[in-house]
Amino acid sequence: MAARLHHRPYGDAGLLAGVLAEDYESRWSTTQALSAAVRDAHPSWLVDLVATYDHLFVTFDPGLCDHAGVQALLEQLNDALEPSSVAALGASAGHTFEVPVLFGGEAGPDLDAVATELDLTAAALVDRLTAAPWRVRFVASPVGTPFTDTPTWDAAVARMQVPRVAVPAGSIGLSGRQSIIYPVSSPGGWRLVGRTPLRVLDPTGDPDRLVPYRAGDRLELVPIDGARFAELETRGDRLGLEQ
Amino acid sequence: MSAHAHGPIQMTVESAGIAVVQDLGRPGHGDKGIPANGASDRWSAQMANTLVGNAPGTPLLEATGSALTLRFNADTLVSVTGASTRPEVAGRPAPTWEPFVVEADSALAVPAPDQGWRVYVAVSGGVEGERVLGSVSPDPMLGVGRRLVGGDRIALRSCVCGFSHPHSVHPLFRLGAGRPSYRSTAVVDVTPGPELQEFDEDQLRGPWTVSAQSDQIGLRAQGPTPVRSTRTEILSRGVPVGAVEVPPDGGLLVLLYGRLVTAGYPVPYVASTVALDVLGQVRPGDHLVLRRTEVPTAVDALLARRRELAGVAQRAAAALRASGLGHLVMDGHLSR
Repeated sequence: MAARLHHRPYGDAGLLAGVLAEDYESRWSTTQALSAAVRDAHPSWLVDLVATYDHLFVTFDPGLCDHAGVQALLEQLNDALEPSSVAALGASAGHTFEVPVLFGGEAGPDLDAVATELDLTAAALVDRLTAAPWRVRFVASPVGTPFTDTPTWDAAVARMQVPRVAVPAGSIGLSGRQSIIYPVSSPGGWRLVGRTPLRVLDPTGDPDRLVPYRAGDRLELVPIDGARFAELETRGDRLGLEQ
Repeated sequence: MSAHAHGPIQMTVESAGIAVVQDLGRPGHGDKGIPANGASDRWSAQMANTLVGNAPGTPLLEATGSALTLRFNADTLVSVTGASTRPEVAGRPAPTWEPFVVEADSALAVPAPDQGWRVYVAVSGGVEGERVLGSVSPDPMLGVGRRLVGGDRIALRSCVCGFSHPHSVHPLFRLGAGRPSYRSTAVVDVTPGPELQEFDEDQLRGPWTVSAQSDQIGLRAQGPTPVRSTRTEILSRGVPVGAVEVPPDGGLLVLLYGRLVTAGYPVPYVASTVALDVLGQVRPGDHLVLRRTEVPTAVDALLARRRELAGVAQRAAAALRASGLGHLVMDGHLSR
C-alpha cells in the first residue's frame, strides 16, 4: 500500500512533502523512491530535490508551475510507485564500502569522553561502532556528507556545546543515533571518534561521482593503526576505489 | 569587434576589499549537499548584466561592503548596480544602474557603499572565471571561486574599441532600470513555513538586529527568543534558501544562497524570492522586520520583476543596436 503524503508550502518556490508510513524504514525507502521518480519524470519546472529520512523538498520555478501542480505530480508518482522500486532500497540492497578508521587520539579526540558518557570503555565503544555497517540515508551538506545510521546503534550522543571551527576532512562524527564522515574540512558540532585517511570527495570529475556512495549504500568502519593510517594517507587513495 | 592595439583586452584590479567573480550559482545539486550560492542580490546582478547586453547569468564582479578600483586597457561598456555607491571614472562621477563607457587606460573607482552591502560591476562580454558544476561562484566547501586582489588581470571578451561618445562617462542611454533603495531597517516579505502554527507571529515580526556573524550562508538576527509551543524534535530535512529558522539559543537564522541544504530547526516563515535580494543587501547592524505575505502575492511580485528585467533587456538591446553596438548583445540576453 502506498504511503500518504503531507504537503506544505515551503516558500514561493518550494514544497515540502512529508511521507507518512508505518515505520522508519518504509518512510525512508518511499521518500528515496519518490525522489528518484520525480527525477526520472524530469518536469520542466524542477530546480532542485532534497530527499532525507521522511521528507522530500522540491524547489521549482514558480513561473512554470505552482504548488498545486507540483503536489499533483507527487501524488501521481506516489500512487504509481511500484512496491519493487521501494523494496529496491530494502535491507539487502546497496553497495558496502570499507572505511578504514584510526579511532581515538588526535584522529578521534572525543572518543574517550563519548565512551564515558555512554558508560563504556573506549575499546567497547569502537566494538559497537564497528559491529554492523552504517547505512547511508542521504547525502547532504557540507558537500557530499553521508548521513548514516544503523539499527544496532541505540545510544544517543550529545553534540558539542560549542562547535569546532575546523573539523579535519575524513573525521568520523557522532550525534544522536547518527554518524557522518566529514568529506571536507569544515566547521562542525558532531563528536569526533576517529578519522579515515581515504579521500572521500572528487570535486573535479563527474558531478554524479562526486562521492562514491549514495543513499542505500553502507559504510563499514574498519579499525586501523597509526602506521596503516600514515601509509594510506601517503598513497592518497580514494574511498571506494581500493577494493 | 576589433582587437585592442596593445595586446589582449583586459582589466587590472588596482585595489579590492572583498570582491569575487560571481554569477547565479549552481542550483540543482542539493542531493549532493551543494548549495546554489551565486550573487546574494540576484536582481542587481541580473540587471547589471542586462544593461551591458549580457545574458543575466554572465560572470561579473561582486564587491561586499568594500571599495573596488579597476583599470581597463580598452574602451569598455560597464554598469554598476546593487548597493548605493558613487563610482567615478578618471575622477568624474559615473552613473549607476545605466550602462556607460570607461575609456582605455582610465580607472573606474567604486567606493564602499553607503547604503546596502553588495555592489555589482558588469562588463560587456563578461569576465572570465573557472566554472565548477557550471558556475564560477565561490563555494568555500568545494574550495572553488576567485577572490580579487590588487594586481590581478582579468581578460575581457569584448570592447567598444573605436566607439566614440562625446560624454563617455555619462550614461550611454537611459534605460530606466528599477533601482531599489536600501534602508537600515529592511522589510522582508515572508510566507508561512511548516512550523508557523507553533509560534506567536507577534514574537517573530521584529525588529531584529543583524549580527556581524552573518555571511552568504545566512544572516544571524538577534532579539528575544520566540517561544515555541512544542518541544517536538525535527528530523533533518531539506531547507529552502530564505528559510527563517528559530534555533534554541535565541534569535533567528535567515538562510541565504550558500546555506547547508538540510537542517532540523523549526521554520515558521520562508522569505519570498524577491525578498532574498533585500536580504542580500543587509549590512551587519541593520534591522529586519518580517512582513507576512501569501504565496500568490509573492509569486506575482517575482513574475512582475521578471517582466521588468525583460523590458529593460529590450530597451538595452534596441539602444545598443541603434548605436552600432549590436555585436555586444550576447546570446542569452533577455531581449532574444
